[in-house]
Amino acid sequence: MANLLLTESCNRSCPYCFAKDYMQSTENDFLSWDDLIYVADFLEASGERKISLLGGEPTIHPKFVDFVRYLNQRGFGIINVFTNGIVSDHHLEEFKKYLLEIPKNNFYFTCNVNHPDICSKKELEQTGKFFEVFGERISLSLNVYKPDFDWQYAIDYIEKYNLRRHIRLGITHPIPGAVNVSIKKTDMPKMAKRIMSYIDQLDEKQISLGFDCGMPLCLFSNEDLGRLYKNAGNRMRFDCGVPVDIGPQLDVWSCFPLSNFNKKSIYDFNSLQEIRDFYNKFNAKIRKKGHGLFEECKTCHHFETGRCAGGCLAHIINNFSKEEMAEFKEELK
Amino acid sequence: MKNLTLITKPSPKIFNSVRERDFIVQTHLEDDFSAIYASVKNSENRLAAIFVKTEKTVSEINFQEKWRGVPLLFYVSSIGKIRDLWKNMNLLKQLDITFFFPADYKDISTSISFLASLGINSGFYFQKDKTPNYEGLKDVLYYSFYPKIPIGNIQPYSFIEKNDILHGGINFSSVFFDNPEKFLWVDLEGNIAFNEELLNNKQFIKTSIEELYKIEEDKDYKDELLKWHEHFLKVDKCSACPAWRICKGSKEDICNEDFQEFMSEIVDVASDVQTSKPKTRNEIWQ
Repeated sequence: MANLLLTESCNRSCPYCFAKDYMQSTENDFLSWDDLIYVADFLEASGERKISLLGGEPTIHPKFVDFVRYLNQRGFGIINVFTNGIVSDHHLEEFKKYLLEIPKNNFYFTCNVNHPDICSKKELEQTGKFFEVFGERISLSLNVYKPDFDWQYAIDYIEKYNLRRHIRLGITHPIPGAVNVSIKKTDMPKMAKRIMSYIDQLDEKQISLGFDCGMPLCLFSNEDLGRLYKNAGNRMRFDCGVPVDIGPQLDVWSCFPLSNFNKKSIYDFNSLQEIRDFYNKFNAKIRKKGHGLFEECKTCHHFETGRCAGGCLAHIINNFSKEEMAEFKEELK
Repeated sequence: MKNLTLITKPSPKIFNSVRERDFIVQTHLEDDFSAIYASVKNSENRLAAIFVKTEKTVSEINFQEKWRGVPLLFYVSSIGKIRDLWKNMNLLKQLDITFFFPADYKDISTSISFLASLGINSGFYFQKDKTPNYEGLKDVLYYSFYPKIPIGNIQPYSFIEKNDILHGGINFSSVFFDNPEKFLWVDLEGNIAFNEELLNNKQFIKTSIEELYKIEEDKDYKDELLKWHEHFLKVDKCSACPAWRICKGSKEDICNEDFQEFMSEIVDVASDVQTSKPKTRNEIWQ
């Protein structure tokens, strides 16, 4: 599924934000109608009828409602909006009026929620209202940025607001060349342990778990893996795909952590597959240069077969020596 | 006899005075289109389209279920508020409707691309004394001729694309019913004119609809069809214009350097598309 950024602006400033470096609020950073039509045509011509709408915060785009209705009328069978759920009363009324008509299997939200301790009272109030209206269309997404993270609040939200019984867990990655809070590789085993400490409760409440990309498989024992698969089935993934992000000015890049490298324009390509092929080759180049996140990746057959990506490529780039980085940048030219 | 299409306002008297004719009925949004449809059909004629000119925007029109099956051509001022379109969108996509916008409309490119990408037909028309939004019209030109996906028709581009311009000329003003080879305008008294402007100025070719059947033998009518010869006799700007193949001098009254350049670009694009179309080999029984 391609990711389309409706804007670069966000109404929140999260410490871990992997897109933080990219998010620079400018006057004209909203995706235009003409460009939306171009992207919709491009995806349709590529045979892609699923789309994720991202930001910044996509719901602050002045045409958000119309864009969603348009994509739905264009036959995009899945429109997944990645939001933080902080929506003004005025916008919420508008969303209720115009968006609830779309069947819930065609249009839903992945809501990124922070721990209540780092949210203001007003933020929590607005998010609560949003959950009340769209509860059955909302899956929660958590960004793990410290090893001892507490995500009981997410389970409580699911119960309280009757949200979709699924949690998407994203491990925060470093942005090469930028500053953001992320999980260090030495902290990863502790983080994995923490994840497993919730699995009984998730099973009991019939909440499935899914991992975003870049989670190393070897953090989990065989027994852990068995339990994870039992909980989540094939949603459990350890690979690294090329989601393809399309920016509001129609720039394209592989994914946010790599957004500082090899940014192209959608006009350089004829189809989504061409973009994926291009960035798959690019990613393979990085992986070949630096192997996986851990020393063991070099001889790991899961890494070799692609079952595990050996962590996020951003870590690998960060581990490049000065010479390797210079060589890499030269290759990109 | 040629089957000339007649454009008139709703009038059972006019409908009943001819048989087996195609009618385009020019009327108002408030009128009952299905009643007009029935009236034309009862007179043993055919309704080619209902043609409405309105100051309203697309979003202000109250689309109705009973319009299904009636070909509709609406000249509107703009697309209006997109937010208000959604409630009618499913119906709108099912109606046989084409929206025409004025060529100087500032949002013409976005509005037409929006409708066309949803499979809704649209187009634009020129107005005297108003400078077309050439940039927008050119964007739409490329969108129409090189679409990535199947889209709704965009007039007059779709008309030009579907008619062979490589091996003969066409008159794209047919899209605006300004081509006496195909269309004649009739007022409620039965007066006949070559186009709307002449009808409004009471410059008739005939003053009774009864004379319609012999119009093809009429000297003035024949002269009108051959009027294009004059451009070559006078050796005026049309005679050397690269856009002659699609215009035939029909827009001489609004043509200036920019217009000619724009029209020439249409010819270039249309020629490119028609030249690159794969040639289909005739089967032996064809």
